[in-house]
Amino acid sequence: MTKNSFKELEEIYIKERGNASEQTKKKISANIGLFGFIGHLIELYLPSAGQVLKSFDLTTPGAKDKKQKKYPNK
Amino acid sequence: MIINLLNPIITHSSYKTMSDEEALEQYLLTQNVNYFNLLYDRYTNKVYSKCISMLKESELAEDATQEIFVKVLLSISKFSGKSKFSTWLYSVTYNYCIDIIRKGKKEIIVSLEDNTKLDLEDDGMLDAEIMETNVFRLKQVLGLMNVEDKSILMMKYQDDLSIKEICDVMDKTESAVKMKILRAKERFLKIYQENYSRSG
Repeated sequence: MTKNSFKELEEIYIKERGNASEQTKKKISANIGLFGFIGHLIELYLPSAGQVLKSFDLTTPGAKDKKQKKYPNK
Repeated sequence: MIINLLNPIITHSSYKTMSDEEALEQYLLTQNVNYFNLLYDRYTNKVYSKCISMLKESELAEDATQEIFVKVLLSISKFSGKSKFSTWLYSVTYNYCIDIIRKGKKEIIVSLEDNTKLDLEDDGMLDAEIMETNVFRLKQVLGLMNVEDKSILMMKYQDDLSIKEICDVMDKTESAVKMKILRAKERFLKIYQENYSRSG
C-alpha cells in the first residue's frame, strides 16, 4: 500500500488539537439552541403580534376618519 | 432547560450507525440537535485539520471550524443531496478558508513558466512522489503554496475526492480541474526542489 503523507499530516493535526473539539461543540450547541429558541419564539408570537398590530390600527381614534379624509368623495 | 426539551435524547440503537444522509434527513425532519451533533462528531476533526492546514493558526482554525458548522447548519436545507454530505461539508470548508485568506492578505503566487504542453491525464508517478513526501517537509511545502493549489491537492490526496467531486466543490469543468491539479502538482514539486534539493 502506498504511503500517504497527507493523511499522516491530518492525523498529526488532529492529535495536536486534543479535546478542543468539545469546547467548540458546546459553542455550536449554544448557537443552535439560541437559533432554535428564537425560531420558536417567532413561530409562537409573530401571528399574535400581527393580530395585536391589526387591533391597534382598528382601535386608534380617528383611524376611520383618516381613511374617509383620504377619499373625501367616497 | 427549554433547549433540552426541544432536543430529546435519541434512544434507538441504530442512531450511531446512521449514514450521514439519514442523520441529515432526521435532523431536517425533527430539528433534534443530537442528529446534527452526530455529524459534528464524525467530521469536526477533519474540518479542523483542513482549517489549520490552510490558516496555520490553531485559534483561527478552531474559530473557523465553529463558523463552518454554524454556516452548514444554517444552510442545511439548501443541501440538494446531489453530492455526498462530506463533499458538501468540505466544499464549505475550503471555500470558507479561501475567503478568509483572500480577505486577510495578498498571496505570494509561485509562478511556473508555461512553456510546456501539459498532458491532462493523471500521472501516477507524480502522485506517488507527492504522497510519499516526508510529512514534515510536506507541511513546509504546503505552507509555501498558494491557497488554491494547496486545497486542490488536499482534496485529491487527503479527502480522496474524485475529479467529478472536485468539479462540484470548485464549480469548474472537468478539464479545468484536471489542469489545476496538474499545475498544483508541478508547483508542489518546484517548491519542494527549491527547498530540499540540496539536502536530498
